[in-house]
Amino acid sequence: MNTFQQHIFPLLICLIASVSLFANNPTDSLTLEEIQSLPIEPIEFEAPPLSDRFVTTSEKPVDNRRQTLLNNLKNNISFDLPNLDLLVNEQLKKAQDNDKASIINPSSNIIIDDFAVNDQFTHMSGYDFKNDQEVTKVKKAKKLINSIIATGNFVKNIVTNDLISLPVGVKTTINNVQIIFGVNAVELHP
Amino acid sequence: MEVYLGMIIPQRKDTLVFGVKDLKVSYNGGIVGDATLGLLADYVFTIGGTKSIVRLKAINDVVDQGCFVKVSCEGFESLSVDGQVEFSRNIIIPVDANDKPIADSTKRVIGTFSFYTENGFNDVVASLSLPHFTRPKMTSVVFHIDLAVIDLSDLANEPGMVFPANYFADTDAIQFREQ
Repeated sequence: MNTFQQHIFPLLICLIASVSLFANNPTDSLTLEEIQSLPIEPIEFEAPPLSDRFVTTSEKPVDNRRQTLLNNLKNNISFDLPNLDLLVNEQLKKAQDNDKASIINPSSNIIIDDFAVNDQFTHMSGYDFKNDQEVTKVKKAKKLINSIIATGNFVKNIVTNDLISLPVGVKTTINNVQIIFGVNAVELHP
Repeated sequence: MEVYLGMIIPQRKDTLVFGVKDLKVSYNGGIVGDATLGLLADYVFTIGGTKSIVRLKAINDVVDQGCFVKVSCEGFESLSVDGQVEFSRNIIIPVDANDKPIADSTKRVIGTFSFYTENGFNDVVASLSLPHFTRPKMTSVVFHIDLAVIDLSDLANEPGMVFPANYFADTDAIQFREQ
């Protein structure tokens, strides 16, 4: 046996063995199955003429749902913005005319308070006295404070010896606010 | 001893006066007993232009309310303020128990406040109690405020105060005190 025959025989044996092995296996995923085709039944359809398939804008059919929605809105909304402005202006004019009875409109939820139109405080800063006694007391106190400032009769502490020359005061300044504690009169008791 | 205390408010160019007639001083010096001087009359001033007024209430021993100062031999010790702030009906209007706006033009929203300070009127931050109210042209909405703060302090803010964006962008233009 020559060299070629020695190599070809083992190759042939391997080939035959592998073919016989695959021949006994089931079909793999790539194997195509025969497709059964269904019968096609004809559809009975008659196309409408072209003129019927397109309508002009003016001939567009009414969308009932949209129309219903618009009708509902129209019935349920009392005011749009321009009308609301008119209503407010009308109410304000009534307030100015002092027509108080017609200000609050019970048919709407919008209430205009006419009294709010011109309620301003006068620019003020001062005492609001309730009686003459208060006027007298404040005048007396201010007079004392001014008198102590004018004479400069300040002491560090109020002690008995300082109470000989009246009025006398103790001055404190806290955050730019001057505070003066003044003694106006003293009664001596044994 | 008849004593008075004057608190000169530079912004108002006025003096708040407190007083008491029978303060007792011992022979060796020193004030005897409670050294409390009451505000002699209600003091009123507008804030926010003409939109609201603040009323500092005079001392009233009968109902135990009003502003007073505590003093010692060294002078001023502390200030207790009992006040109210009244709002114009242009801003807010009061409501009744059913949250309906009160039409009576004499009725306004009045808040009450009280505070204690040892640093004078330049350091006042007080909690404000407000009743329910509504806006004049929006009476279908009623406001319930749990906590409002009135800040008259040059030195401090209410803890937790958050300023709007760019609040400090133009600090030179801030003029919160009326001249």
